[in-house]
Amino acid sequence: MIRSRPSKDPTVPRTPAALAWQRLRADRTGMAAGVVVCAFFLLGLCAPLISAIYGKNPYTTYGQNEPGLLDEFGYPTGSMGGISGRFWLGLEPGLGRDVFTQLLYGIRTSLLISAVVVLIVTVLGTAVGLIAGYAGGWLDAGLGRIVDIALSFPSTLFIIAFVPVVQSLFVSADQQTPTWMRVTTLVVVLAAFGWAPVARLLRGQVVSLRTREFVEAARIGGASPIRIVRRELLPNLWTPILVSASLSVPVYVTTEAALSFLGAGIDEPTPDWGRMIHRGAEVYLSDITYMLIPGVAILIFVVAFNLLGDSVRDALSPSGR
Amino acid sequence: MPISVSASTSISRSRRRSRSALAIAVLGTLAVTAACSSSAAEKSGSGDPAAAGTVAKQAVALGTAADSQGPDPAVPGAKSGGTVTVLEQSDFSHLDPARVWSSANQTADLLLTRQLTSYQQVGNTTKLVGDLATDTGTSSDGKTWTYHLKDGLKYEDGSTITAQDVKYGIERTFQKELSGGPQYLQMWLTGKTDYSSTYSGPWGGQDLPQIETPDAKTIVFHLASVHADFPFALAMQAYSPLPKDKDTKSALDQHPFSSGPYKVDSHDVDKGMVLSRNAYWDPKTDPVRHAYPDGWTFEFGAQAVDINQRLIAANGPDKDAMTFKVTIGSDLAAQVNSSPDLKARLVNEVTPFSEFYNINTRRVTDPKVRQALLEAFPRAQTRQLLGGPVYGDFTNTILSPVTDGYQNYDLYNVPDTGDPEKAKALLATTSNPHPTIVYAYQDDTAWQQGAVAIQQALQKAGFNVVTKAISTKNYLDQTQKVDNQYDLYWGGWGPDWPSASSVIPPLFDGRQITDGGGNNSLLNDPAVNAEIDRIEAMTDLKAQDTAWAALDKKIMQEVPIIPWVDPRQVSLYGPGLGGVHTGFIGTCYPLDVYVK
Repeated sequence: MIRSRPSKDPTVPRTPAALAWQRLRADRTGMAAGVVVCAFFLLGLCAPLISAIYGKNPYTTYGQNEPGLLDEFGYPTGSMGGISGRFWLGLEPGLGRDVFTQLLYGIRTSLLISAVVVLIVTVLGTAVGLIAGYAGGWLDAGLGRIVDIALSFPSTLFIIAFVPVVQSLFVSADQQTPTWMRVTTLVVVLAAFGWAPVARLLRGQVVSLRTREFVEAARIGGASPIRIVRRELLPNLWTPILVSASLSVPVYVTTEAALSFLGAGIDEPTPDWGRMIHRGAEVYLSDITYMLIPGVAILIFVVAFNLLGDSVRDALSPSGR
Repeated sequence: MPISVSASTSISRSRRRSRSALAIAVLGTLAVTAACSSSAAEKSGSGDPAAAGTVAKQAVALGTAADSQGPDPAVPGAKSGGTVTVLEQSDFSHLDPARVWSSANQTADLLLTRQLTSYQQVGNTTKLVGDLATDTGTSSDGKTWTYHLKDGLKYEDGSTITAQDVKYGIERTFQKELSGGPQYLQMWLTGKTDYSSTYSGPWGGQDLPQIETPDAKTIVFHLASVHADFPFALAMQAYSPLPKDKDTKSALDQHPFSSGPYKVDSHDVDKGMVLSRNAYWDPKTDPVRHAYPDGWTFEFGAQAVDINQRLIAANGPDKDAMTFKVTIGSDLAAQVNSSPDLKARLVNEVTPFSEFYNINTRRVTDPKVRQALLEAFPRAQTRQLLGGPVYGDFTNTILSPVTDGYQNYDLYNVPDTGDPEKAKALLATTSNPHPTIVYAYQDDTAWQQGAVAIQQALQKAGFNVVTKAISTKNYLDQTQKVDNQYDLYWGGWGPDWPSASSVIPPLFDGRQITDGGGNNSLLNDPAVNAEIDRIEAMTDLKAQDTAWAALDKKIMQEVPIIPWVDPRQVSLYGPGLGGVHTGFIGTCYPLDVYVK
């Protein structure tokens, strides 16, 4: 008889994944948040397509090229920051670039960076957590201290000071700093600090699991440490890993925005939400729309992602409610 | 004087000046001396927030002995009394005259010090007149200058101002400890740039033999070379009198001993300062100062945006408030422009400063490429990012319109938005139609966006553009290095008196190229250097002015800079004040202010 296939038949037991999926589907908030999150990913993925149909790009300075779109002080003419049938979310004060496409491409910047960081942080953190938790002894103690140091480091200050130094090291004074290098630097420094909390979380879980009977049984049965980790421990760790990963994405989106806000993130002309918000904070007296649009966008994204993360956690471990 | 970099991302202009005489300051604008307000040719931008641009350009003439007698002609409608509140972002870094050079510090010392000569502003006319002296000085050869003091000159304690005090005040500027001030007189008297090797200041008990004081009211200067504009240099606040027994050394910086119309009652560093009348100051001896208010209260430490909001609201004592240097940004320009009430209490005048983009002539050696840069440059786009017409007026010349002898010309006749096609055609005649240009800028929002506009505009003309951000703090240090690796970078300059001799030599004399110096285009043309020597040796100021203007045009044929804007001082003041306008320093001028 074939076991463990998900089935509506109540007599057949369901897999934990199927149960979790069922619980998630029943959670309306979670589903709504999921739809919003998917929409953001879709918008980011399809940004070039959408902007081709829409007929604008985030780099052209429409306001400076065409007289009449900006007033003499550099602010969009017309109400609401220049929102019109032609520019759906208005124009950026000063350069007069299109806000809608800036926002779309900004999603790509934010999501790309945070997704890569989360991937690295999760893989690295899980590996360190497993090794420290399962090996114990001096290895655990040594890794534990490294985690302590990484956690206690003033990471934001470090990043702000470090990013320009790295870039001047690798790029000669008369060459353009490539955008990929900016992105890579950001990913590396964010990941360098981000793995520590994941490692600590996972280590705790592993320590509590490794003395359980099924692990003992496997060990007595002669299983190799690698097999124990892969077949006995890891399957029991998917819940904390998934939950921490899904809650980390919005954290890194806001961190990246904050770094750009502080001038250590992605620079012109690559569209970026943090920089848009920074500029918005400078011009809010004359053009509040330009601050509200990226502000509201990042708010919706972060709230939706957090709600989704909560729902995933609830669905995976209902007892944790 | 050099210009300073704006410290913040806002458009407000800071006017700090660095210590070196030739240092330049950046973004913001800076400090100064020249004369009255003026309207530079403004080709675009119809809407200044206030109708300021109608004042005629005016050369600063030397006044006669009759002009030098007091009192200063009254400001129409002015009356005495009341207290003016002055709101500033930060405290004055120095008040000790020997250390005063930035525009903010100079403005404060207008109230507290007098000089041998000074500028008399009546309406739109500015003249250099004798202040402590009976006239602007007499000299037969441009090297020996004689001054006589007036009668009835008193300090805040009632003692008499003597020629020996004037000498002592100038001797103090040699003292190494008293850094920060200008160095013109020190260099001219000793004939050396490292003047302290000749004379190290009066604190060691030495005497400066180049200044003679045969009696209490006569002072004779013996310069090492001819300086026809010597009377202008004497008007700098750094060369104020001080009695030897009142030299409190470093303490003088917070609490100067006043020879001017006001004295310091209390000074709480970085918080506030209170000035009251100097009862011994006699307006009949002073041709350049009014002292209508009974007192001045300074408040330091607020953000520019908060100061502007207080001036707009004008609640309570803020009704009589003003600011020397806080400007409105582009974010307030629209609001001010649409409010007749605010427009009625706005200063909006061109300062003596100039801002431009240096082209590194050591890296970009082909004048055709430099000309193509100038033709393709998006001057209007970059100005709009900093506030458009409230930031400044476009200029095509090196000298600012408030400089004596200034002549307007437009050598290349390109629109303010740049002409990429023309530049492209010119580049096609050079060996490399796609040269790479490294543009360095300070890393804050407005300049980041400026880099985008510059990159796009220059690319249209066929340039490859590399943009390099430098932190605001390091911007000046980096771009003022002789061996910098950039091709194009912003700079600014303010003349210390309305003569090209405080502009062209520091900016374009190839022999003055040093790290931290003013010649940041690194132009070193023997013909220009020789012409500078020839003009400086002239004893006739008028002939000198004409020659400087011709040299201005000649230098621009080599395109070492892309002239950009003459910045404006655009500031609000409270509805209870009258007589607020900018002065020869470029800031809001306190000496004609009265409480209505």
